[in-house]
Amino acid sequence: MSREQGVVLFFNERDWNERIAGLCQQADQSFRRQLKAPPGERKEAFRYGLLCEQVRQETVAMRSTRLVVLKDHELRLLDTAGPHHAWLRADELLQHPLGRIPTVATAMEDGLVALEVRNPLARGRTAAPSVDGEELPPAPTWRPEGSDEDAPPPKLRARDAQRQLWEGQLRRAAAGEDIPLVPSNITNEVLTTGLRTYVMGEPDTRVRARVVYRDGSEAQAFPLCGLQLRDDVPPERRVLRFALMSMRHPDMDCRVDGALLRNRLVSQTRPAAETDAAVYELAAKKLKTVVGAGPTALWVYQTGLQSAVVGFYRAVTDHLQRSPGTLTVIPCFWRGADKFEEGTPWTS
Amino acid sequence: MSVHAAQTPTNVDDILRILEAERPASVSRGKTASQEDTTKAARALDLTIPEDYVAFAESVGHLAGPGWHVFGMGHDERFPRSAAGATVLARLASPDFPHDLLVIGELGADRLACLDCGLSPTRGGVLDVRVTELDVPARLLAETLVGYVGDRLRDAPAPSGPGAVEHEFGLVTPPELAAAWEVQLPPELAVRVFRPLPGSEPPSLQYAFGVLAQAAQPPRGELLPLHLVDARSLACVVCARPGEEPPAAFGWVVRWHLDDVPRRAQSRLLDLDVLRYIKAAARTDEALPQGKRKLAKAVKKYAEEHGNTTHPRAHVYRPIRLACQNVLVGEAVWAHDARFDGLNVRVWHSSQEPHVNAHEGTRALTAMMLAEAFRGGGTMEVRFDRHAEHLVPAALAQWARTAGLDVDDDQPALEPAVARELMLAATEMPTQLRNRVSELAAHGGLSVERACYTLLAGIWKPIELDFLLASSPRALDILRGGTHPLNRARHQAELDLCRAASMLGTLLARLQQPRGASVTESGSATAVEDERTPISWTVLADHGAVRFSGIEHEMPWLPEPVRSSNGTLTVLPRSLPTDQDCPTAGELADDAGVVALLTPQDVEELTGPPVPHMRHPDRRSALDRGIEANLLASRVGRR
Repeated sequence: MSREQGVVLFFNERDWNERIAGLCQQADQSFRRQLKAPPGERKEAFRYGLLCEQVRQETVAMRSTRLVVLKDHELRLLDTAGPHHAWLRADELLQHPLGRIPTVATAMEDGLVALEVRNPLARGRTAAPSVDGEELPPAPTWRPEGSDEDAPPPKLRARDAQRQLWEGQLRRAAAGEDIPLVPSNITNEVLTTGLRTYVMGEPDTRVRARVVYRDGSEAQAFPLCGLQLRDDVPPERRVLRFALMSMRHPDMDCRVDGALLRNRLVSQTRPAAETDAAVYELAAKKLKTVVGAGPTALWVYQTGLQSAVVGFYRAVTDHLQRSPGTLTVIPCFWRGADKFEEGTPWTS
Repeated sequence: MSVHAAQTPTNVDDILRILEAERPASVSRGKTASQEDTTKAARALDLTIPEDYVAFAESVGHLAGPGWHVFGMGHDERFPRSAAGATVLARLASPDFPHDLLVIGELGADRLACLDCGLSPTRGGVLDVRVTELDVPARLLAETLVGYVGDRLRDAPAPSGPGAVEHEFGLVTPPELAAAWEVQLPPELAVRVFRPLPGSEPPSLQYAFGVLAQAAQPPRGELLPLHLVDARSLACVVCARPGEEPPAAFGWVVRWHLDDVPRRAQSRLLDLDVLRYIKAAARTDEALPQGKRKLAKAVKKYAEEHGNTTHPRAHVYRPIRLACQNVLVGEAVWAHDARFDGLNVRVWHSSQEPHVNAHEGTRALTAMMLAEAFRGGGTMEVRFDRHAEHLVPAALAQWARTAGLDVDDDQPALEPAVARELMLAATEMPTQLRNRVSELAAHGGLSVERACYTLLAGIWKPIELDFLLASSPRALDILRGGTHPLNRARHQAELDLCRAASMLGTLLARLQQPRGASVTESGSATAVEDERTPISWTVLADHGAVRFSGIEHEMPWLPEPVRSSNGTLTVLPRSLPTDQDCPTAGELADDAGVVALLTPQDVEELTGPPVPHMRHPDRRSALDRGIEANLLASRVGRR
């Protein structure tokens, strides 16, 4: 029966340096570049994979001096060790996850290089997947509040229905129920207005609501109920007007001073939660820079990428919690052509 | 159901009344003519057509019963003759054909029923004219057209029932058949449902048996033709022979192709019950025109607003056309609806076509619809409130019955639980794969919808998914998009599995190519559209191998031509073979089948015991690109 076998092969360092060290160096550069890459960017990771495959291919022709077969629990330990190369030099023993495997640490000597190789189709009993739960039940049907669940859906505008769906989730999450917020398919105005309503509350009532996108990816939790917000824009503030993302609606270019986020970095094919995380990270940095010159009122002309909107307002909420009184965000919703409508300000 | 003598018509309105009130089952009607049709015909034929015939053609249309016709003036696909056309033909066939006669029907091989237009501008007698003996005086059949039609209606015999079928055709029919023949059918369908009518004209059973007898593959003896499914196949009821044990499929409706189709496509199940079959066909036919109109509107609106340039959001109604070999087999319009957080379907209809398996259009359209419901998010509730049937389409429920599911077609929506069952059925996984998916789903490893979507979206092929699930617990990580490539050893294990699966997918596609030839002697590639050699496979999880069966041609990708004497091929797919793999292959070898190691193109010669070495056409880097795309698709797809 096929099972996964992991072995650590040991090679003479001199042979290794002659044949493979150059590849390892290139792979290491790719590895480091990938670590700095924005979420979802995998170009360097793919290159790293190709280089590692060449390393593996080269070692087939080399004679290993010794071999250690890894046990199942050691494989699991390495699986969860996070990013690391498959090879190990003697001077890296303490930092590398392979160094935590006693048999490997014992076998490692100066002048050797270890390489971890997996054979997922070795002979042996196939382990069952480590799942021991219950079948995921079909989702319950949903109707707007006050509607009969067995009746056909009520006549509503799509936006009103979205508002009911979104605010229903926010209300339940804010009340402490373990239900996730699902921003997918909700327009940016409904998202923003709903979040604005439910982030308000006393600091000691703060709730962290799970955020799950329709692609199944789960983003960082959203802090609800922890902010005391006011409805007016405080006077005597520096005023800046920004588009949330560049290149979305050129119509707004004449109204704004710039764009907070670059479309190229945000609109990529990747799980929505990764986009959310990327936007959060970028927005948090930008907000810090913006308020560096003093309290600022920021008009944000926003469009409808849900993960970008949620990521941005998570950054705004965190900022307002950490540095109250420094920032006012006034959302502006696009209404077609060159029309925009201001939403309620986020200011503490 | 003959017309009572007291109801003998005296004018055309009486004929209409009788047809409406009595609905003689043996009489069918065709299209009515417009005033323009009759005027044009009169001018072309240079005849003064009597007013009672004009009224008949414009209000009753074409009328036909067993052995008689009264032609209309309008063109009608079901009745390819019109009075004008028949008269022109008669004049061409015989120059002596009297100029003042209008041919309104055929009475035999050389006899025509003709209306004498020379008598009166209002009424004309109906004559029995022998084309070959025009000099002999014609026999008068009736003083007027209305009288002639009245006589035919009065003499229309009642159709015989199921008892007569047993007597005449030697078949015991299921009890629901009599009720099925009584179902009120739309006119378009009525002429395609065969019933026990006298004579051998359509839609009589005699006619249908005649058609069935001409099938390229002789039908089983207990089949009773019921419905003309399409131009080249009939729906037949499985009956029993008197005095014999009824067959297991007694009462089922199956499809019999008239052409020489593959055996596996012949006699496919259309429905489990003849009455439900007819009711479903009636409901579908009735809703079709409205569905077509809605589709046309949706197409126009979509083209105006989106054209081919912009990708619409999930809430925009999108027209869908599903075709097989340029023939439409399904059409739909749907969008995500925030009012119930599910898929709203406005148009949904499918068709049976001679070159497509029974219900295949319905199955494929259902699969597309449910994949869209999954992809677009929401609860998987699918509603049909705005569909022409206002209920779950009868055709969908009919296909579901044949797949062993009981879908209530009296409800306007598919609940998420029903949608899950339907999605599993529509995905058509091989049994072993289905069992693996069900087992994993039962333990919460992955959702059924997720597994189905993976196949329907083409992320992994069935054999690839089967191999992944059977061979490694890492399959679940792979289906979630894989681990981060910077955890190299773990990612390498996943990548090796994916490469093995990917190579198997290509190998199966290659083995399924018809006649086993990818290149002819002249060096040009051969391709036979949609032809596949049926090849089955079994994953040998014990060895990380797959055994293919049913291979009749030479094995591909080997350095020397090799043929398997028992039609099996066992392959061990390995992206980088180890010392263990050749001995493992040796253990699997038997006397008849071929056992081989399958590797990417850029793997060097194998060392160890001699084992046939199949080289996949792609190098590892090319395989990895495809795998990376699959993993990305898995990451951004819904769980």
